[in-house]
Amino acid sequence: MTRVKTILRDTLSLGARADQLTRDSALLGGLAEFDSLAVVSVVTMLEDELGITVSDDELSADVFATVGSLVDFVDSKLAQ
Amino acid sequence: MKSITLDASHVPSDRGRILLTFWRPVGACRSAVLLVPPFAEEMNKSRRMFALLGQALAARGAACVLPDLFGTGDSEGEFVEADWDGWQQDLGAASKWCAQHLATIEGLVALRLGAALAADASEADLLPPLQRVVLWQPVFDCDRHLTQFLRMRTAASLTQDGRGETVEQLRRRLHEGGTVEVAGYEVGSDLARALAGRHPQRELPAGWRGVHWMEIQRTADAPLPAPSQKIIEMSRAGGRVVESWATTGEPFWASTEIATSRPMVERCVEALAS
Repeated sequence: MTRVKTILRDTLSLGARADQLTRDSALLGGLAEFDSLAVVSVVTMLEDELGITVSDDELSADVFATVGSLVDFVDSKLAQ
Repeated sequence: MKSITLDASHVPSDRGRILLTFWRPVGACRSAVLLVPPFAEEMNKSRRMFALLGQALAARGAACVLPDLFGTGDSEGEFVEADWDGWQQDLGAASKWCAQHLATIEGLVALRLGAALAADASEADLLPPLQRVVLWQPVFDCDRHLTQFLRMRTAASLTQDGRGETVEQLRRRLHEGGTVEVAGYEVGSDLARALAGRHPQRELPAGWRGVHWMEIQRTADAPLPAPSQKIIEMSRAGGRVVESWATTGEPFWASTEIATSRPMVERCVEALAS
């Protein structure tokens, strides 16, 4: 979760607000900064840092609903 | 510090004539460095970094050559006509011209996808053995790079439920011989297939004597990304000398405002002189 939070912090320039994010914190539809460009930035950064490739099929609004759903998605990709 | 000049020359290459821009000391060139550009719009955003590097190297007596690959910049051809083999030939043509007019290429600096291109050109013996290679934020996973590039076009539909285009659809179109336009760049089928099909990078080329792997990171003291570490470890296990270095700052090849990293330029100049 820490890695996802730091990626969110840096791509969205959240600063200290990132420390307050919990699993339940809403992203898409919750955070004003979380638009489609943010999605692209976050996905790119996850891909580059973790060495994974994410297909459009895997990217649904559900994945980006909360910090927790994004963390779970990342964990599932790493387990593949 | 020497006086330097900036000049350019159109040079024949495999698919057509390409423009070589070069910074050089006034008088004899001690050695030469080849710059290998990143993909598409990343090159436009990186021109300033390359200019800073070229000026710094020329001031120390080394010529520095930046090719506009076929179909890009002021070279002949359209972007849609470009292909991976042709681009490797362009690096070879730049290297030959440089040996004839400036000095033999002994050093190389590759940015982002340029790293994969340079590696393939070296493996194809299109480049001489290199004493020093600097890789700036190297990209070797060309398939992922293509996906990320295409995603720039599909971005808006990613967060919609009744979605429009997907990257998969665009890749299929390219695979079947079509073209796809992204942010003003029309990607051709041959280039896309070459990127999608490029072998995974294992060790860095044997002809690269001393490699400096440099990345810009979000936080200081973070480890390099896993894919980078893997290639570095495999290369060291294979006997390559690879030094890694990281700094913090803007990813200048992607930033909306033109950004530079002077520490990266300085470290690069030191590495090439070492």
